[in-house]
Amino acid sequence: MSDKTPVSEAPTAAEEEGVESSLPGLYVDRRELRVGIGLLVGLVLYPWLFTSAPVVSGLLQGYSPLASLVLIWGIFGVGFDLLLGYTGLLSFGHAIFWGGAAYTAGIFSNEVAGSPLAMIGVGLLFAVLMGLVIGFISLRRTGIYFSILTLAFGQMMFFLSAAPLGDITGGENGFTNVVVNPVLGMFDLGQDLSIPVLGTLMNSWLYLFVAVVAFVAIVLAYRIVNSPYGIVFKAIRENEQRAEFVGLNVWRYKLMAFTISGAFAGVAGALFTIHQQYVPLHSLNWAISGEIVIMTVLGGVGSLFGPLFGAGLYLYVENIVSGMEALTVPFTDIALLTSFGDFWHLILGAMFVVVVWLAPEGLWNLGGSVKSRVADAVDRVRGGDEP
Amino acid sequence: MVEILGTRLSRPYLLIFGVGAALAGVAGVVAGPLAVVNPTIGINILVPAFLVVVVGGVGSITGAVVGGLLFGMTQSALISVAPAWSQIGIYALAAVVLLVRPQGILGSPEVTA
Repeated sequence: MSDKTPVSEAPTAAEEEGVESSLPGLYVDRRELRVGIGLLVGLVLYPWLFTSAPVVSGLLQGYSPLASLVLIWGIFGVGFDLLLGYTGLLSFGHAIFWGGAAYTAGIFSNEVAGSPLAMIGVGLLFAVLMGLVIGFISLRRTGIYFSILTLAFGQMMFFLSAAPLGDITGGENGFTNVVVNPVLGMFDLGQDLSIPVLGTLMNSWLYLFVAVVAFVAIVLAYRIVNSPYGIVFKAIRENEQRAEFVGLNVWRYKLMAFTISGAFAGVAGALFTIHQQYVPLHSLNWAISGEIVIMTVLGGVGSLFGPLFGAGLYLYVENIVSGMEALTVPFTDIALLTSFGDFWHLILGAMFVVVVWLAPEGLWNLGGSVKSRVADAVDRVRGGDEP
Repeated sequence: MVEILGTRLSRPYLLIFGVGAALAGVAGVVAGPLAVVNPTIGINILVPAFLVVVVGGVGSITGAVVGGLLFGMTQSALISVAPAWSQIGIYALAAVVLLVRPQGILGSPEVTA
C-alpha cells in the first residue's frame, strides 16, 4: 500500500515523516493514512458482505438496518474504550451520554429542526456539557468509587426522564415524535442509495450517513490515542501517581478523557435516534452502560478497532441468533437444536466468559492471545527451566 | 497472603458466597408479597442493593444495615411527599455520601481503594 502514496523514495525512513495533505495545515501521518484507507475499504465492503454478498450474507443472514446499528454502537464502543482501555477509568454511567444525547437529538428534531447534522451537533453538545459536569464531580473519587458515582448519576438521569421530566421525554413510553429530515435537504435517509456501485455495496443513505460519521469518529479517535495527548492518557492508565510526579495535571487529563469519551457516546446516541426515529426510555438505563462494557471487553479493551467487533458480535447474537428457530448444519436442514434463538442470552454469556477466560485481550487481539498461549504450551512441553 | 499461610481459600469463598446467596434469598421471600414478582425483580433491586453496601461501608455489616435503613427511609419519605422523585432521591443520597465520605458511613478508611 505504501508504494501508492506520493512519498515512496524511502518508505522506511519516511514512516514517521507523514504526508502533507492538500488541506493546508492538516498533517497526515503515513500510518494514519493507511488506517484511514483500510477503514474506508472496510466500511464500504462490510455492509455488502453482511447483507448481500453471494455466499457470506446467506450464512450471516444480515440486513441493512442492523449493519448501520452495529456501526453506531461501534462509535459508542470506540469512545468508551478511550476511557476504559486508554485511560483506565471504568465508567458505569455512559448511558447518560448515549441516552441523553438521543433524547436531546429527538426533542431538538421535534421542536427546532429535523436536520440530522444539527441533531448530531446538539447531541454532541449535550454529551460534552454532561461529561464536564459529571466528570467534574465523579472524578474526585478513583477506582470502584468512581464507577459507582457514575452509576448513581446514570440512574438519576434514568429516573429523571422516567417521571419528573415525563412531560418532555414521554416518560415510560419514550420519545416518539422524532422528525428526521433529509441531510442538507437533499438526501433522504429513508431511501435506498441510488449511486450505482455504492448503492449495491451500502444499500441505504442511512448506512452511508452513519458510515461517514463513523469514519470521522474513528479516524479522530486514532489521532487522539496516537497524539502526545493520548500518550498521557496511557501514562495515567499505567501509573497515575508517576504521571502526577512527572508534572502532569492528571485530574485535568482524566476530565478531558471522560468528556471526549462522552462526546463519542453522544454522537452515537444522536445517530441512534436518527436510526430508530424513536427514543426508548431504556436508552438511559444502566443496562446500556453494562452492554457497552461487555461489547468493549468482547472486542478488546485498549484496542481502537476491537469495540467495533465487540459491538458487531453482541448485536449479531442479540438480533440474528435470537431469531434463529433451530441450529442447523449450514446449507442443510439437519437440526441440531430447536428453539435455538431463545438461548441467545446464554450464548452471549458463554461467549463473554470464554473470551474473558481464554483471550482476555479480546477478539481483536485473538491472534496475539492464541500465539502467546501456544508459545507457553510449547515451553511447558519442552520442560524449560520455567517455574 | 492467607493462602501462603496454609489455608485453602476456595472453600471459605464458596461457603461465604452460599451464605450471601441464602440471605439474598431470604430477602427475596420477604419482598415477594410486597412487590410484583416477575423475572426482572432481581435486576431492579441489584443496583440499589449494591449502593446500600457501598454507602453503609464495604466490610461493615452494621454499615449495610444502616445504609439499608437510610435508603429505605429516604425512599419511603419521598414516596409520600414527591413520588416521582423517590428513586432519584436514593441515587442522589448515594452520590452525596460517596463524595463526602467515600469509605461509607461506617466503613474504615483502609478499605478505600
